Amino acid sequence: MPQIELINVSKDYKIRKRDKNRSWFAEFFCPKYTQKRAVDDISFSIDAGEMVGYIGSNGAGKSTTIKMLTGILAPTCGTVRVFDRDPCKNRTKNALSMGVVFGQRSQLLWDLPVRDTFDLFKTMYKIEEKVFRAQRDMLVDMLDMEDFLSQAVRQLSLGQRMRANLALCFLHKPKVVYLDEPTIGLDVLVKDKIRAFLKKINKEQGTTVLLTTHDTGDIEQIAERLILIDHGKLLYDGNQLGFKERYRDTEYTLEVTFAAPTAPIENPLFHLQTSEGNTHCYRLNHDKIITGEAITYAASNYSVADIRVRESGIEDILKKMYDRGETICETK
Amino acid sequence: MHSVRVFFRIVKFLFKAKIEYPAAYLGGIVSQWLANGITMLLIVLTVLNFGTLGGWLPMEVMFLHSVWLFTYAVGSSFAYNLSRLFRHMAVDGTMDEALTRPVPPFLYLVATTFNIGYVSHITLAVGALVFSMIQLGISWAAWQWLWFVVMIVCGGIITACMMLICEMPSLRTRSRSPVGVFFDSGRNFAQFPLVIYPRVLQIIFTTVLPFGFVGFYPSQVLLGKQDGLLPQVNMWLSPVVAVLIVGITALCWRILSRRYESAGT
Repeated sequence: MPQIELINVSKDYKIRKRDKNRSWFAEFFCPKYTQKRAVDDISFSIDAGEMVGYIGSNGAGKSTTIKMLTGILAPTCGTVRVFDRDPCKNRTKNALSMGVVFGQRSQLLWDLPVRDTFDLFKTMYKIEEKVFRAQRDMLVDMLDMEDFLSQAVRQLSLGQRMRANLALCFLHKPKVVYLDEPTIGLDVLVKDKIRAFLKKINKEQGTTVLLTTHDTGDIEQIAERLILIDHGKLLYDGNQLGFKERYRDTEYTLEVTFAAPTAPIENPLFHLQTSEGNTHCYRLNHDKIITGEAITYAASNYSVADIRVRESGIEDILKKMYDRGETICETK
Repeated sequence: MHSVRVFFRIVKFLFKAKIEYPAAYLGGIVSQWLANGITMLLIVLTVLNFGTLGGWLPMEVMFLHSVWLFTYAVGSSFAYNLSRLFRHMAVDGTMDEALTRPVPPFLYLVATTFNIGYVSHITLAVGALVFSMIQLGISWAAWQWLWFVVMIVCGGIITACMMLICEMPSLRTRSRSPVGVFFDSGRNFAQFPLVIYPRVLQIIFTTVLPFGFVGFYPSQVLLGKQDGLLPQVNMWLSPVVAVLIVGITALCWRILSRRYESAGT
């Protein structure tokens, strides 16, 4: 039995339809509305202990999906089940077994030390004293929070606040955690700390994590499984490796540093992209010339000091997919 | 029971947060004492000059005004901040937060927006009540003391619910509720005996905007007065009105929160 299940789920929003040819009088007294489909016939399921990256461009429908899973919004049609219950009808009950972090919002008591919000959550989530102490100490240790635990939240940095928010989210040992852009605006060190924490707690406590993010580093390091949506439609659902293999760009970049100033390589398969000093970047196609041949060609015909090859990462793939607005891929 | 425990826990932390800034907190209390104290003094001095107000003696008017202030403070402690928050809830994510907590969302919102600043109004009202009762030579039986408590509780409930009902549409419109003005203006009429107003206003403040049940009607039981509309019946109706208005508030909340649409993140 999966922990999270969405079957043919859609969500429509009613939005104001403004017509520039209508008078302000007509707009004021007789406004027109239209339906906008934010999530369009999505189906997927997530088993206990999975770490899933839920990705898509801005306005793709990620946050709307999370809000349906947490019970904040009801789907227009389709079925949403979390712990085999309707999250909207069992919101309070489900809340005891789930945690949620909306990256741009804090759940901490602004004027009080972090410690006090921990105490409040202990009462709110009915956590036994012994369990509370053990879990709090473990989270403080894992997220390196000891230094600022007694400091007022208003005096904390963004990174410290985010770590505290994450700790709160895991305080009651939830079975499922929804993280909506948890690393937004954070520096690389804090991001690394958070990514390591998520991997560790998933391994140790078996918490299911559904993560939405625009940071492909989060996905590459945390999520084994990827779910990609765009314009409300599911584009891909499968593992990260499969995603890279299937949508790997046929093009790659060869960065050649010559020993002395040199004219661009004269070969129709080498497309010069940039040139800075003795370093040239060429775009090549795997189908026409494989990496080994390209390197050999450059090294044997020119005086080369260094050669680097750059393959497309998830970010490059996504960039192209968003650009082309592709509706591709078979799902898991 | 769990929800009640969570409520008091949240209020405890709100108080702790408030006294993080002791000067601002104490300064706020003193300024409210001065503002409300001067208003009360002006009313009493004016009535002293006229002798009576609609048949009510100056100290009876002071008693009524104190009850009005007391019930307003009790109701506002629970509802003022929340009523002002309705229009921002979807945008700032407060409602989303409430909907993901393991307690009823309405209770969570009331708790997190509880305003402990009204302690200034309450202390001033209690002081004025004691003064007016001494001046009136009041000596109540046990049931009258009990009725006094019922009056304050029901008055607080009616005030809070009226405030919430009038502002709740802004949860949907996301701007200041157009009916909010009914509360702001209507409640001020209730600080004086209803009998001084034309009959049509007395009817309005007994039915549509039941501010008469906040202080005027239940005070009649304690002061032995029988004026206004159907005094023998209305003077006992505060608890009934309180229960009714709680039901209406719950219904409004149910309808509006079901239609809630969260903003994008």
